[in-house]
Amino acid sequence: MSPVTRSTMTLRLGLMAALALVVVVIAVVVAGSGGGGSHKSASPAATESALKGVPQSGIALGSPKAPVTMVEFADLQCPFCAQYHRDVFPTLLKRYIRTGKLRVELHLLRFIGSDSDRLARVAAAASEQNRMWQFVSLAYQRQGTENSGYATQQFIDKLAADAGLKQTDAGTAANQQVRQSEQTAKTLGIDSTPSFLIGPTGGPFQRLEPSELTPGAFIPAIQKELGG
Amino acid sequence: MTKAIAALAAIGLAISAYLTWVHYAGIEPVCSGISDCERVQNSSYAELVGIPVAVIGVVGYAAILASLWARVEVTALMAYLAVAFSGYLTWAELFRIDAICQWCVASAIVSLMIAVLATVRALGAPLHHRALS
Repeated sequence: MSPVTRSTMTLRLGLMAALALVVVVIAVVVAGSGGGGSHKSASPAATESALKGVPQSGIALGSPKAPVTMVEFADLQCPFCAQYHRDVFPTLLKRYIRTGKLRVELHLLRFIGSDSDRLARVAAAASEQNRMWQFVSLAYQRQGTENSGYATQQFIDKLAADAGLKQTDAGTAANQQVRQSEQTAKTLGIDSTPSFLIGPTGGPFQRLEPSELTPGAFIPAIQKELGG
Repeated sequence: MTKAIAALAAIGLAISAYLTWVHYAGIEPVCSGISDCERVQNSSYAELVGIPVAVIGVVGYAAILASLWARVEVTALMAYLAVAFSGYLTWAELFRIDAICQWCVASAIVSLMIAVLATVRALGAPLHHRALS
């Protein structure tokens, strides 16, 4: 090996440290995970893979034979709904829904404003194609400021395309479902989102009022319904 | 010095292997009171282009171990990469996810210690004998 002086080595190490920094920064930027703010990792592929193999039927996700059902009322514009979807839902999906223990239903409300309405209508169309959860996941990941008009036709078209929707117009049945969800919420006195009900599949359900939007606030209730 | 780096890399490898196992088994990592490992693990930062960061950790620490048989600069470069990546993940935990995972912090500390030792080793190694073999 050729002799290397200490100063050469110091210089070499310094250059390598700089190189390491540049490599990591480039890797992170290329991967699209960093610095994206609320739009980080709104990747259709990641969403598709998270939901792959989990049965969907209309507004429900999970096996119809799952012993427990959790009903969620949400507005696609509501930041706390997005927080639930980001912080809690992945754990429930992995531990309970994917394993056939839990089935979840998502009833979309439109109380925040017109962006909610536009998004909920396309979500209804998605539910007819059994791809509502792909659409909803991406809608939450790309959620804009409430009532800023962010859900433009272009925004929705891109969302629908990324969620793999064949069409964005909901049929009569899906529109009926949206109205039915609102009626159910009204009957139950649900006036904020996200709101949850839990119970054996088929009912009866009772209100689930988590103290915070973390998996730990939901798991005990699910375990209790599962009988342990 | 080499042994100390090897021991630290083994610790890093064990942490990453544990988190990889937890990731694929779909279970919760053991987590202390102040940490929220599950939130960190379920965040979008837990994967880079679809690869769990725990797997990247396993590969990285294995590469550091393997590099001990190569030139001293190679270990240093690997360690710097590990520190830069850990730094990014720690930034994500603090400022994006708003949750800390003790395993990730431990790994960040381990990689930092390896980087310091690898630097000292590279600077202090006898000029005619820079590799383990």
